[in-house]
Amino acid sequence: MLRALVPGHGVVPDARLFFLPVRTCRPGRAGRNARVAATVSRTGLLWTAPAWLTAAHAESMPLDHLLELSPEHLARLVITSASRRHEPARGVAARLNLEVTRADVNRYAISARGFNSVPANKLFVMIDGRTLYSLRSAACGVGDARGARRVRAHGVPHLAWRP
Amino acid sequence: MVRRLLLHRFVAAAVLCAAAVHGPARAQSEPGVADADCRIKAIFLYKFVPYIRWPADSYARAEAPFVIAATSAEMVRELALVTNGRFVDERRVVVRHLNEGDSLAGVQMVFVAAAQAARLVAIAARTRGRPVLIVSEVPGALERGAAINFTVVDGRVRFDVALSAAEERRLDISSRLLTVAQQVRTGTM
Repeated sequence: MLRALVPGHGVVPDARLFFLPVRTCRPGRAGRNARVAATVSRTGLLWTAPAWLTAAHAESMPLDHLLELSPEHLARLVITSASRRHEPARGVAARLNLEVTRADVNRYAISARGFNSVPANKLFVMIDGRTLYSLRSAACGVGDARGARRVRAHGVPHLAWRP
Repeated sequence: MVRRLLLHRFVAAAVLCAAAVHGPARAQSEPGVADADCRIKAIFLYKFVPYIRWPADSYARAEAPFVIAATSAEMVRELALVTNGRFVDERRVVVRHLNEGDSLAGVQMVFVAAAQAARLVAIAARTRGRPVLIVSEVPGALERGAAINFTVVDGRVRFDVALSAAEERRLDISSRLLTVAQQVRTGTM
């Protein structure tokens, strides 16, 4: 079974489908970063905001935390609009737009942001440092990777593969 | 090809399941936008106090509480939560609902909500020259007597300050607070 391991949010059980409205997010741009708690950075690796920024949504902060903030910090808090609510990445609709689907007994289709199928090869997936796709076809066979501890996919969070 | 089609069907089913399971739960657990907006403003009101100096004669008695009056029930509720059991300037904070015609005696801060913006001019006139900080949240409130006006810019609660209105009421606003303000008006209106 494949699971998405989202840094800072633990294992996302039974990763199937996640949607992420794609917004490029450069670490270091605090104002912009505060809008999305976790998103995929330009380098392709999941970037999770530090705890303070993760909680930069007023709705998700308890009152005690809000009261500790100075006016400077309060003025930076984002109030999410009704159409764009903050959701923690541990929810199923964690908006990672990651698609991990089992095709048959030893093949998985792994993709992000759509266009998933067994021959999908637009996502670079590695298991223990070795690429998952065979050279002859793009099919993503994980049968020979039994026992692998760590699956890494560029463009999506780390995948932990539990045989 | 058949396998591919099946896969797409499965994907579509998963989308529907995820939406069905998580849609309503999310709607219940998260407060509305208006709530967050009001809460941040309430916290701002409470946080403003240490940055503003009220003259000594603004309190009837030495041990008089710090009174915040708000025109909307929502703000009264939020302020009550925010200031619950807290002190400002070694004074107990009392939150009061300001109905039409209520006395403004002993009030240090008034919040005029957008829904009651029509009362802003009257409240400003009634407290003219007295050390009462009037805070509002409607465009143009600074021209109508408010000293601080909340605005929502780019999803963030910001505020404008009319220094002249504060000075007229003998309120001394700290420069630290002014650096946070989005706009500081100094001239006469």
